[in-house]
Amino acid sequence: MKAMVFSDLITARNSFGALLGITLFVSAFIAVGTDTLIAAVACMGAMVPFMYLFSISAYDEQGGWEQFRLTLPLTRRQVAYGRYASMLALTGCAMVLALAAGLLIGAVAGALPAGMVPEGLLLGVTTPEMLVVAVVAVSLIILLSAAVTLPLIMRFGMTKGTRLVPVVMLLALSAVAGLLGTGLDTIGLDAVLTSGSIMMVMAVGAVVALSLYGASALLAARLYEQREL
Amino acid sequence: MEQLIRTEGLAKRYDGFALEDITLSVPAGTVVGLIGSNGAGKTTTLKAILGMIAPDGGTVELLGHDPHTASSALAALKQRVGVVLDACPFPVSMKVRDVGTLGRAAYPRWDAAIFEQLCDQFKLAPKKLVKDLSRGMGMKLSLAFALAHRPELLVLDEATAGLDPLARDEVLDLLRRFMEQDGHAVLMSSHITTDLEKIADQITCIDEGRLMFSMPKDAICDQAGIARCRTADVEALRDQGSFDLSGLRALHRSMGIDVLVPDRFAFAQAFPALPVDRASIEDYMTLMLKGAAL
Repeated sequence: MKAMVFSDLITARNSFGALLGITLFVSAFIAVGTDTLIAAVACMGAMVPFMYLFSISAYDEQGGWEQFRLTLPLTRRQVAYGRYASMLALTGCAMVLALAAGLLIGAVAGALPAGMVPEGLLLGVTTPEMLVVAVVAVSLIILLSAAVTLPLIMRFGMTKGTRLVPVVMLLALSAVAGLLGTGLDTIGLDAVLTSGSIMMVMAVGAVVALSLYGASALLAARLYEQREL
Repeated sequence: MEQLIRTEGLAKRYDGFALEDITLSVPAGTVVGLIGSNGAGKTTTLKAILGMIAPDGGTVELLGHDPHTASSALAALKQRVGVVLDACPFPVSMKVRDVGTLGRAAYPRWDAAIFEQLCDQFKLAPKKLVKDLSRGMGMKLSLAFALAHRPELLVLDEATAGLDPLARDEVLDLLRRFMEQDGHAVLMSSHITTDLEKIADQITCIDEGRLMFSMPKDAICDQAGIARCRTADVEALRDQGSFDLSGLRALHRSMGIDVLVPDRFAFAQAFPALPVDRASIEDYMTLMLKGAAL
């Protein structure tokens, strides 16, 4: 699996610069436009892994790379798990990067004369805890999206798989919306959400998201083993 | 003799195409050329051998093991096999040196010195992006990658396609050097039959998913011949009773009729008035696929 993670990261390495550039530009635009650091930091945490997911999957279909990779001493299971691991690693890096960038921007904004930058960019207005919550929340959402997207890509390939992603996402969102409207009240999640203990909510969210991500990896590996390339 | 590849009755079916009953072997110390027209089933055969697709029938052995049993066992087998497909497969965002880094991560037996030496020889600059390589340079990179983990078996699918004649000779020299080591073998699919004439020991031809012939190259290039006949000559051949015509195949050309003869020396002795040329692999394949029994 190490070789697969390595392969993914080497493949994406040369486009990281462009990816970061785009992310910083969009995040800066959002920060100024919305007058808040939270949205910019969340954008940074989401964009890097999300763009990585689709660009690394697109490389698979170029020049027969996906087929050739199967001639390397890797099992299909290792290929699938390696992709999940590289995505998880990228999401983690993006979290740290987004937080660091958020704190840096906040610190720089604080050092500038009052009135020069929007108030929402100051760390006094947006606390570090709020930044952590925003980045963690958005990262978990990205992992959940990847948990839905990756099995489809592993089974059908990037071109066909991405056609199915919106359909499955809509179905999943409808199911979640239905569940939130009815069932979740009975297990007391509503109470937790309104209790004020946001860190606990984040921890529960992380456990749920990572569990689903792991289950998705198992499913994707099984699907990839059955796929004819 | 140890067989590095062996298939017996290999079958694979897709919508509109079926590979049927392919039996071939690649013994250690031999180069086997796999020929056939486009869509004949060569790549499907190679994929089944490499464990990339599951066959619907028959058996496959790669280095003495079934590549379709446990995937972990297949991963171990693949460490001993170098593969070159018909296009440079590496992601376009990679640099030449990244390909070396990938090889080091993937193969325990990766030899960075061999890779660098081959890249030097092929004038592949380490900082060059894969997307900036010409087709020929891309194939050279693939070959350097395939050789740098010191495999015992090379499986090449159109590895010399897109290379100029000098580069092709360079590649063939590399393959000859590879074959100098005991226990090595090459299975090489190619449309460039002149390359196979230079290097192959055995020629296997597939057409429309079926095995057409598999024989030593010398039986084609040294033994077989093409008799250049007129219609009257062919009729005379049919009418005589002393020479066994089985195995002879005829194909109408604009200037006459070409007749494939399995033994040109025996034929020339029997019919001294008919000119008989040596057969090339291309002649032999064409007559076998397009010609009719005499």
